Amino acid sequence: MTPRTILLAPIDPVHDVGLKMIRRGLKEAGHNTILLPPDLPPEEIIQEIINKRADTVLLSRTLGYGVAEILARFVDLADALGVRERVKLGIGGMAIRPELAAELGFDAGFGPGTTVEEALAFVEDREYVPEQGKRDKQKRDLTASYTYAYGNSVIAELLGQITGGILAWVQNKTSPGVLRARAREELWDVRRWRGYGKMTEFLKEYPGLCGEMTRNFYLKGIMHPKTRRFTREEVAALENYVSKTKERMTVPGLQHSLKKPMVFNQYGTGCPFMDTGHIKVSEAWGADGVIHFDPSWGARTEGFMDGFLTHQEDGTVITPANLNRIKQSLEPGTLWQIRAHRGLNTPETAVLAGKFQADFTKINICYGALGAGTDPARMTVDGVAAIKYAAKYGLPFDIVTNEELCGVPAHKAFAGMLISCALGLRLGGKPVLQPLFCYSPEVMVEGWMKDNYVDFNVAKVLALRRIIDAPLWPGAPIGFLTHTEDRIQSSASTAYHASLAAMLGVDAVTIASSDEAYSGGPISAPSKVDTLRAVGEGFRFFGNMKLEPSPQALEWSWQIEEDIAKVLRQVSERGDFVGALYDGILGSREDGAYPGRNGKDTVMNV
Amino acid sequence: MKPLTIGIAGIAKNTGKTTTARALLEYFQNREISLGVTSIGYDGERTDNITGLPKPRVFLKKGNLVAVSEKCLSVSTARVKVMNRMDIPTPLGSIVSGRVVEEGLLVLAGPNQSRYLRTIRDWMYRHGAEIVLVDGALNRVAPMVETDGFILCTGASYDTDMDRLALETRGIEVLCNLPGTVEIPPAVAAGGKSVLWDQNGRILAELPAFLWEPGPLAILNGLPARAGGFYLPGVISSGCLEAIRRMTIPAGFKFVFENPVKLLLGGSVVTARLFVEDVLERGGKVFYRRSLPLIAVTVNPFYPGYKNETCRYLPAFVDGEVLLSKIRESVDVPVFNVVKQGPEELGGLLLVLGRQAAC
Repeated sequence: MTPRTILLAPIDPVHDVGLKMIRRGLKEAGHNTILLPPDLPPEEIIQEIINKRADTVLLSRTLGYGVAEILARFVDLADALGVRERVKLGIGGMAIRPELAAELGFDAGFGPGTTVEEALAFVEDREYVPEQGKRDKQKRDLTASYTYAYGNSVIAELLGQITGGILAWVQNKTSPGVLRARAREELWDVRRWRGYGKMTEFLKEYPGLCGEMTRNFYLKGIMHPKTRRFTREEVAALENYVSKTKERMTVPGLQHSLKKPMVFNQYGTGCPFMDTGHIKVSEAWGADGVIHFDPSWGARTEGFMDGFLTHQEDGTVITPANLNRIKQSLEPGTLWQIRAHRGLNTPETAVLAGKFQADFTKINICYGALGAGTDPARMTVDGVAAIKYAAKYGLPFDIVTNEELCGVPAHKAFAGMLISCALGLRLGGKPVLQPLFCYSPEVMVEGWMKDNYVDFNVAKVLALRRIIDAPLWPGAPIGFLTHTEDRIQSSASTAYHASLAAMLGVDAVTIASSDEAYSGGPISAPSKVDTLRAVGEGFRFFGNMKLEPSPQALEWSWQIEEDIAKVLRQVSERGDFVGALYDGILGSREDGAYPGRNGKDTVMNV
Repeated sequence: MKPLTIGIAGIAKNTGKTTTARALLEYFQNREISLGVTSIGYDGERTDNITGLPKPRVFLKKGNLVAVSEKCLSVSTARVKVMNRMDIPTPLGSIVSGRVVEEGLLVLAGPNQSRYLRTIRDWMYRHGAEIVLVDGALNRVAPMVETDGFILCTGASYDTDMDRLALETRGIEVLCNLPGTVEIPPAVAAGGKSVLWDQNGRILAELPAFLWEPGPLAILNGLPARAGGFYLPGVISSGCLEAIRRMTIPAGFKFVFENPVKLLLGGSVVTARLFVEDVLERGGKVFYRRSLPLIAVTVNPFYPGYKNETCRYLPAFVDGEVLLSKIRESVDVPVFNVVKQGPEELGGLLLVLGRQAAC
């Protein structure tokens, strides 16, 4: 590359820092640079262009009304003096965009966020390829570096006893959910389905294993009252939207200099078309992964419908066609989680997640049984089956502890989480611990977050880290119950929690959208941008700083660890995990946990 | 009719260039005159790039020729069959030229240099354009030298003081329309420098091509009677023109500039006008090698009023009737408010011009 001569001219008395940064990059690339003093009139700049035989001129100016005319006169003068033909002109500054550069008569416009590389490419007549383009985002296995070795041998032993009991108990049991999962696994071929092949055997068996609503769908063609099929026009419009959006898509990262945490947010507007828009917004603003959020009635319904369906309330219906469309809309580097954690379709969801090549699923027997309304016995049988399928498909699954939001103390929720984790490990799975980073009822009542939201969340992480070497993915979402209807407050709170998580070195976080807690309906795409931008700023602000736990955090962490062991001992002594769930050992009615009734008496002996 | 290239230039931003262009497009398209359309800036967007206020948009019918940046096509509703990809770069991609095959709105972003405008104009003529309209940008005038004449859009956006606006507009008219054109001795034009020559065409002195400071002009002081003229190919500053006005000029001495743009860009239009009028009054002469006639003026009472309380621009207006009459009183060329009057008179004027050129 022949060195070029670049004249840098700030036409603004103060805002020349951008030009100085670009100058450094140009010099490092071996070019000759001349930085003019600020605020020279156009005539003098042009005289310098001629005197210094510049190849390229980069001007910077903050734009206001009347400034455009000054810049246009500069271009006119260069044109009238024959200089314009010999030099390339670039303009940079706040509010500068390519359209404005075109209007002003420049060859390129550089707005806020312009990189030195972008300016260098312009100078060197190269096409600019953004650094953080889609090629740079690679999927990572967040479980890869963990040994799952226990650091607390007492807890390890108790978990061994408890999981042994659970596996022995489920051995000769099944449920409609397990049977549907087996039909989906054995009789339903995703490739044949994609090719519009007939699923005769599957359809012969599956409706009989479903509840009334789903059976009516297959046998009588009756839809769920709040769903409908997309029209042909809508499908065509979606395909057009996806292809056009993908063409101009770039996928930046939020982490700045950090390697982790990865950032997830959920979609689930009810409408897969709108979900796709939300996913594209999330990707474009830096989310690493997205989570499928299904309707609450889905957890109470035996079986899945099929077809490309939209739902008039929040929560997007799980059907093969919906999952397939959403999968197709994802950028190659976007991680995708399909939640299977809480209802009557848990094992089948894990099968579908595997067949549609999701990257994660979500399973927690205790939360499903105590916080999400599924009968404990049914949830245990289905949960074990789901973990087996997740292991078969190599799907890591996070173990959510949202029963804390019902009022269950953290140590009880964690004891339940560790049981699911231990089951996962025994069954060859890759569990991920998901402690809540939230302002839970427990801490509100106890007054543990009166001063700050940091210590108790730090204590949770420290306790779990001492117990087991496993990946951590605080959620879900972080900052739960700290958010208000004020979008700025919500975004700031999310950003602080994400920064705390980053300083603790966790592997991933799930963030809310800024209107999620108070939307009163589907969340909006701009509110996703709010929190993604806020989290990005948080990561930029703290960089790789680490957090030194306070004595209070340490004290609480020991307390949590000790209490977890106590709860596990009680479960073990009870000798019956399902019984322990009913008895409230892992979360009682006084705490706010109620054993679920959906699917009661549906467990069958084989 | 001889093909004509008409520029639409503004005295500032928001003086009605796009409104004038739209009016003319409507007029010519209704008469099925074959048009070529391009821009030296960026036009046709929904809102102004700086003020955020709504902007008029450009509608084109089937059959017309256009030359725009590649990225404009995907955001336009008009469908264009691309006939030629030109090696003309812009911030929005290379220029493509082609024919409208489905009518609709078009976002116009064209070449940003005069020389490219030449290429595009010639391409449009070759493909049958009877009139080529060049939409201007902001206050840019340099590329207008490639047109056969231009319409000046003036308005309150430049200055809400209508008397000052009238003075400025008259100044542009004087600079464009008062001096005639002249040939200069070949040797004088050859070097690309400013040249003082005698009545026999012999070079007496050479100066830089453009003059910002009056220092080098000292040689014009006390010119001998045999001095024939002074040719300046580049731009001359208002300060230099002031300096010349203070000098004694022999009767019949010629000042020759490349084109009116070189005077328009010198800094002050009012000073340049005084220079021209002064030289003529004192028996000297002012010529261009190439003319750029001002054909007509359009006026726009709109200006973006800035509200400090909200930090936003809001539409504001001066009295349109007063503005029209003040500008009409100050200049000799026809003046229109195309929003009030419609495009008939302005369009008709250009058609007559085309027919006259053919004769």
